[in-house]
Amino acid sequence: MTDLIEKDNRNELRNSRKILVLANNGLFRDHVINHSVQLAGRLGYDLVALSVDSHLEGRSFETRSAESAGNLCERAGLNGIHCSSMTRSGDIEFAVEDAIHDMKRVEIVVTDSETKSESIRNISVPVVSVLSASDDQGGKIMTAQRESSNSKAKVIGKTAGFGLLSAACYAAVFTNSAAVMQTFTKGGWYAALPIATVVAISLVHGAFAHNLWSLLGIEALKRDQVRKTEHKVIQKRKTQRKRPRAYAYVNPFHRVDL
Amino acid sequence: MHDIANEAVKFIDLTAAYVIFLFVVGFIGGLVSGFIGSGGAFVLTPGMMSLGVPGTVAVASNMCHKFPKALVGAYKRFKYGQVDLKLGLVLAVSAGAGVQVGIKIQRMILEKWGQAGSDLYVSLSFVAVLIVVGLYVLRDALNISKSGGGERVVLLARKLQNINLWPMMTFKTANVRISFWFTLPVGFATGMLAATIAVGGFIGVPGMIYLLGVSSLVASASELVIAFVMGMGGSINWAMHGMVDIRLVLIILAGSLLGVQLGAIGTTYVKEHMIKFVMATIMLIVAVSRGFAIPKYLHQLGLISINEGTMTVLGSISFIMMCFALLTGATIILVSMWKARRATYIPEPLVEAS
Repeated sequence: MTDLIEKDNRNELRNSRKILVLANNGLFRDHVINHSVQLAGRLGYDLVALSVDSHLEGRSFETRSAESAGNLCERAGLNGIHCSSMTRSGDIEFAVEDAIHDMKRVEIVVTDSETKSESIRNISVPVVSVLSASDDQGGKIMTAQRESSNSKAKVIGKTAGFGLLSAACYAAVFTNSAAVMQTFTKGGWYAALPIATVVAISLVHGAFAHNLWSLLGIEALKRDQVRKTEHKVIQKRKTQRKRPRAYAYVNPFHRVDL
Repeated sequence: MHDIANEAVKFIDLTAAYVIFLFVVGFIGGLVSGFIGSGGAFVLTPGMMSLGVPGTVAVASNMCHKFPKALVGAYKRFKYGQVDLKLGLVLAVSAGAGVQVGIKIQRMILEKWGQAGSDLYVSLSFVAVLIVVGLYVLRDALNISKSGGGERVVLLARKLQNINLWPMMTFKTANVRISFWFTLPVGFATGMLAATIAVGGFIGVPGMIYLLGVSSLVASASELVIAFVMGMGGSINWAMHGMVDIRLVLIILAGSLLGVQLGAIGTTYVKEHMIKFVMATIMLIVAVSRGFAIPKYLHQLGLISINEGTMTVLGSISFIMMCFALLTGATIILVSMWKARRATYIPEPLVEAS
């Protein structure tokens, strides 16, 4: 039987929905922290950090997990999300199931993709396994990350390039403003000059503006992507919520004195 | 023609303060335009005039900055799948006719009652159209907000869509099938209002929503196509008369191209009724602002008598309120974008536990 040590019982008193964040070997990595905090913020759920000492390391595990859970709760606190932590020891699956059972209203379990899949196979709530750079499918992920950093470098390059080009266009007009104004206001066929200039500037400066907002992280929201993910989570929840239920038979004549 | 222009028009000298003012107003105007499909122009023209730019140059330069801004905004929103190009182009044709009629009416009034009469006509058009349409749009936006639901096609639009009057037109992005004849009044009114108060979108967008049954997202995006077509035509016309001050245009454009893209991005974050809400708010504040300008024109026509000091104060209040309208719209957009950005999270691709 698993030896369970619970550090924080506050969640038992709270009725809000929760996301259980499962540490990998006592550690909550940055991508797991980011994902769970953002997910909790979006769904309005609380966070519960769970570290399971499966190798029975004892005090060293507790110190390590407490520090890492502290980081998670600190991030959660900054985002106005309630967060508590607990440490258990023994088999991961049992520990998670027990925690879910004790706390009630755990909707999702978030864990690191490095956590062995067999140890979380039979958990009764949906498990979201967040990709990390050193995942088993590492090559693909590292490539994706490299591509992402490459694309960021590309955006920086484009922003700088279009910015310089735009500045050059502006400089060309404003350093010769007297001559430009004289020619551009002649009217007639010269009308093509201001029109062509504003079209050219709108293309160059428009491209600069587009890349600048991208660089600042302000990009259009792809609603389909959000819907797809939400749909996926809901579907998974529906299929996995086959939690065994205990039915108690109550004898109506029990302890009835006739 | 161009000689006259060169002799008559005096282009201003630019100072750092003017540049900053035009850039900032351009940015805010662009933000509002990218979001609701129009706006900004009503502050820029009087704003430039207050810097000493002659009226015709202010109108010409404003129009010349408007069409590239609309082009960039329309392209951006087209990429988000919000622009119905066919709808925009069909409406732009009738809007072109509306502009011509609007200019003719303006000229007629100018000849009969002079500049004060023309200004009074413009202000009364502002007040009448913006209050009526603005209140209707605001009521609709509040109703949607209270009910918490999405937008619904109004009864009038549904009835018009059911009338099978040849030629019927299908607008795929807008998901509307309606007779061509019902698009005509919307485009025509847009053009007339654009010729009168320089912001056709205040009638074009509500017209598309409440008469044609287009969603506010597609209506505001397609309005940018109309603005581009009309603005391009108008700009060529003004440029042929040598009235465009390219320096002013480029400064405004520097700000507005940044703003219009931000506004377009904003539409992907907020709920659709926010477009109506922002539009109605701006329309109503601008209507009140123009209301303050009316006594001056009535005085100039000899219909009432007020002293010079009062007229100056009323003029200042009118201009400040216009700036306030634009600022309010921009603030609502930025705040709602910020809130939506915080509330919305796009998760990374997930790996399901096996």
